[in-house]
Amino acid sequence: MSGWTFRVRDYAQEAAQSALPREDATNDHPLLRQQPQATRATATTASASTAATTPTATQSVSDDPLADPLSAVEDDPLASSETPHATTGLYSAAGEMDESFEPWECKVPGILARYTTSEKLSLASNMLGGKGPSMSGDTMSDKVKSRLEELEGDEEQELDELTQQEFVARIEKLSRDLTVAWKKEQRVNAIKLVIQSSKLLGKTEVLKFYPSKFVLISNILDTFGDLVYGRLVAKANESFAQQGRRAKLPVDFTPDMVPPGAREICQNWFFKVASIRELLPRILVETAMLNSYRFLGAIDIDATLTRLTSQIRGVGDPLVAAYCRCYLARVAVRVAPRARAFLMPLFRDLMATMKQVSTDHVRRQLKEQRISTGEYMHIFSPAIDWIMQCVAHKADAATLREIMDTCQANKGSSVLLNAVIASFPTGYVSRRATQFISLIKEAPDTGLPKFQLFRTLGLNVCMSPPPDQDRKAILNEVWNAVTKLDAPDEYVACAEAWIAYPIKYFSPKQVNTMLGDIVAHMSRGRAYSQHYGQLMSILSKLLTHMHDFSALFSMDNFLPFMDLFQEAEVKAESAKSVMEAFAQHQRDETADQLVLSGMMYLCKVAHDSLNAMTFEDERKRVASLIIAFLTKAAFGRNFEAALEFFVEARGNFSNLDAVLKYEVHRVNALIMQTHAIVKGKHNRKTSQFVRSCIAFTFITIPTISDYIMRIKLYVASACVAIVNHALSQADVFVQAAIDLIPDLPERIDVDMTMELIDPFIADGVETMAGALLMLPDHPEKDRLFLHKHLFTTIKEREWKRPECYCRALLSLIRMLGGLAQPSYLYGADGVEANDALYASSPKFMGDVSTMTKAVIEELFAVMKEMPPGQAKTAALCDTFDTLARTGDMQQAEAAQLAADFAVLARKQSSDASVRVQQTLSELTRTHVPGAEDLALLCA
Amino acid sequence: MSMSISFSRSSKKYREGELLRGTLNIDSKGLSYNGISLYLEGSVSLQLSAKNVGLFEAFYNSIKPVQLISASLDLRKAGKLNAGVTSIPFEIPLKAKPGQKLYETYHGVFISIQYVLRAELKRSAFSKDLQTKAEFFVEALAPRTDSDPVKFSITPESLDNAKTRADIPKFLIDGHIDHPTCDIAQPFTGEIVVRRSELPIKSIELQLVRVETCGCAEGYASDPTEIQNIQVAEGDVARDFAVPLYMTFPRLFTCPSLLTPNFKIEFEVNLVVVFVSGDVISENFPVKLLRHTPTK
Repeated sequence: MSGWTFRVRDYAQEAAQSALPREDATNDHPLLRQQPQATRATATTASASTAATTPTATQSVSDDPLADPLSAVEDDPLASSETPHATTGLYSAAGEMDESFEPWECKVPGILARYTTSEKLSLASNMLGGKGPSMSGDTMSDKVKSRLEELEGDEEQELDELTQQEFVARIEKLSRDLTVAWKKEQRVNAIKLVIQSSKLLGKTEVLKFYPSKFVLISNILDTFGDLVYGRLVAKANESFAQQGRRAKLPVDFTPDMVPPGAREICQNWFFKVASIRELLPRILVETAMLNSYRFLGAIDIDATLTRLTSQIRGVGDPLVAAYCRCYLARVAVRVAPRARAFLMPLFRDLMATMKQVSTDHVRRQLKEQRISTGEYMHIFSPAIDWIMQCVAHKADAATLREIMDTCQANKGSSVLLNAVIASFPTGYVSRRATQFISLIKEAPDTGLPKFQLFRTLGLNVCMSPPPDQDRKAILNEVWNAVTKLDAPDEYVACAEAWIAYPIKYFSPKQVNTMLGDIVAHMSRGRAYSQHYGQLMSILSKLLTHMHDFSALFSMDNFLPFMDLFQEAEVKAESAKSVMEAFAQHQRDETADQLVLSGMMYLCKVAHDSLNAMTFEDERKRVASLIIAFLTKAAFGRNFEAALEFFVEARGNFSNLDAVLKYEVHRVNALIMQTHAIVKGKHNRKTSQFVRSCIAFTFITIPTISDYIMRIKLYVASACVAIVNHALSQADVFVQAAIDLIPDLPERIDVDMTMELIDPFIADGVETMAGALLMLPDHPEKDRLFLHKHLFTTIKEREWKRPECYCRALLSLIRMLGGLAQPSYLYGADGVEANDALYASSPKFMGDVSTMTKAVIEELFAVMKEMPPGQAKTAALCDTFDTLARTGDMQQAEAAQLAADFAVLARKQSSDASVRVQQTLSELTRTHVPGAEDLALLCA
Repeated sequence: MSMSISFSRSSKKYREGELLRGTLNIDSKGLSYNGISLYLEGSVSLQLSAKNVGLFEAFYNSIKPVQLISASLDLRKAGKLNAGVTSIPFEIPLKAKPGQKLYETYHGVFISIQYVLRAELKRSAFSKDLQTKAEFFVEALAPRTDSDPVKFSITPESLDNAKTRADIPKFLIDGHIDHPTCDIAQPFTGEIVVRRSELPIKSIELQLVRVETCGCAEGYASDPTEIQNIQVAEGDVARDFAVPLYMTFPRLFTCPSLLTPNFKIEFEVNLVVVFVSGDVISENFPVKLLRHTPTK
């Protein structure tokens, strides 16, 4: 092969030549000119990019530069649609019930789960069967007699004894039967089914199951109410159609829109219901149909609700009556949320009938079913809670006062007290917290357990602050009682509600005390293992309210509290939630040792929970949380402490590449920080420190499993070492990077797909080649030892994609071109690179030239082997481009060599001409000597 | 081929002096006829109870119905109908026969008051005539008369027919009835309070009873029969806790109380208290019904 010489470059002149033309910034920014009335957004860009200080621009900059120009638009078209539309009539629900009102549906699962039984429940085997009302006998006495028989007849009817599951299934079937009967137009059967179902609510033979039974049967009633309503709407639409009107009854219709036919049918339904003989079904079915009153004009819904309220007074059993009231309130909330007049009478009746609990009738029942008065009261609680919620929702002061008085008068009822605390406005309860505490204390032990009351109270006082002067007394009073609770589930239920209290109103000291108490209670007999859910909730409350991590970790009970999470999975989850809160809320760096060591411990817990089964996403999450923590660790100028910290971190988080990589970068940054402080001139002490840092990175990098990341880190660390005059260490880094290449696998995992590693190696070689320019040859080794080593290493590798190999080789050409210059393009301050070392000595230049020749030969060889195609064309063009730019084109041999590649490229594809031409014209434009001759050779 | 009558009001309720409006709808494939006429009939039919006069007499001595209104209207002279539905509108004034009044529609056991509109389409001698009929309802309004509430108090001592008072468990039940004269369109209302009762109460009910009286040659025959029974309390209600009495009057089976020379329709309400023991006590309240509020 013929000879090759590199062109000698004048980097300074080239830089000046290729730089874009510059002008001084003027006031007349082109963007400003286009839009004389500068909007905020463009003005900000203008000022940022040109530092122009036009009056308009500065004015705008004072505004938030990130502010969205759209934010000025106040009439959001979407927002308007959310405003409640005009409500029509009494019945409309819009805007009456806000989120502070817990809907019935939310309570249902709790009720069904709480009120269960193992007793047998009886149910008539055939709901439609049985004797109809007997019509025999005309005289009065006959009638009465037969009716009495009928009343007794219920017991004579064939009854099935069912388990709870069977009962539930039967009721669900009943509900389906109802819909089926309705669809088949068997409306008499449908109403019979509903009446029979509602009669079931009159039976209290299994008290413990009653609330659940109520839930099930009230569903049937709701279904029936909806069916009737739907039928009436359909009827109305039918008559519209008959009149040839295409109109449909609107959702918010008023009675005057209802056609007479539909109104007549509606009237008939209500007459039918009014003639139901028995009281309970009559009230329940009418209540279920309340919504259909909308079809009748001139019906005062308030009066109707009040009337139904007073009719319920006829229901003798207090429990049945309470749930009947509950159903009325439930339907009213849905159908006529604005109707309130009936609520207080309803509540007063409820309270009045609570006295019946002590009657013989009820006592006998309790004795038969072996239920204590306390348990019996508990059965009332869903109904009382619901009614209380309805009464108290947006109630005026007078109403609240009346309820409060009732509550005080009924000292015996903890169920009522609990309902009051739960449903009253939180502010109201909080203001009177001390009063409530004494009420709770006075409440008898029968009824709801006290912890429940304390818990409910806790939720209130945490939500809205009690008066300043009471706060301490409240905490002391309550906690004195709570801490005496022996049952861990009762205790933790209270603790969960109360933990926010000291956080919100007191210093961490009190929080710490409470945490200590929690730890003490929950450690007894490993109670914690049963209550991870509640403990987790306590933790999340701590983290939501305490964003000061110094305060958090300064509580000496915090880590013992964290230790309560023993089970591996929960332990890791708890640690992660602290880490997440830290990542989110710790804004500034911290030097607080307690925080650092505490967080280090928790991060280690999270890290150690990772294993081969862990999902990649989870690994990433943990890694980013650990990094978020490491980022916030500050050491000021105590560099040694920082290094120690990272040594510890490396030991703790050895399984996460991302974290290790972060540590390497941080330690390199430490070196550069010291470099900046000593202004590039290390003293003995600092250079020792630098060496320990380098030692750190040098042993950390091999622990990273990602090879490519390792190469990049080696090169980066090598550069840091060169800059800090640690040349032998830099040598070792580069050597290590090069030595990695033979071991590299064929493919690597890139975002879950296995890809060929070749492009990544080429990238690595490129960065290495760049770094090698700065690094002077080792005095005891051959000239260009590392450079040659790199070349032979990549030469020995079996490349799957030759174009990548080609790219690597070309980067070597460029490196060699750099090395051949009398003065290098870049270097480290105070480090004599090869330019100074050899001063372009012939021996050195000869070595460069020899190596170059070898590389070019290798290039030829690769090209020859490459199969034709786009990749080959591109590789040829690239080679031509590199050679033409680096070589001395005045030398005929060099020019000819470059031209050969251009000719080869053109042979491959006509597309190549364009690229060759691009290179040529650029060389000509920048006045590279010999460019014209080269163009001729290439033609 | 079918014929039907539809009235202008879907409730089919009319009052004396109003026009009975509607259409006669004939669905046919086209036919010729000799005439189409409407016949309006309203009458009181009376029947004697077998209990009072014996079966034989009851069968034969059915009293002649009292005609309240009778009218006819020729809608069409002879002509021909096109295929499809033909609607012929009509209107007939509701005017009672001289000396009579239009009483409210009532379906009782021995007395019923009914108004029927019959349509007849006459055809040639060889084809069958078409007929249809439809009942409509008459409401008779009366001016409001206020009545004072009636208080009651029931104790063992107040009972009329108890055999041995000493055996009866002690109780005191009181209350009141809001209006002994009731608007039939409004519910029957009142209040009952169980002050005390030795025995638990099983049920408290309101029984609505009609008393129909037919006059005839042999004298009067009076029959009380139950219309409906409505429970107002179930189970042992709380003491000193007012429970409302509330009952809607059923349609058709009730009408304004009527006192005529030939027949009477009267109503009573029995308040029935049933004890767990099976003992029953009842208190009777005669009530006068009138229609004050017209149905819309």
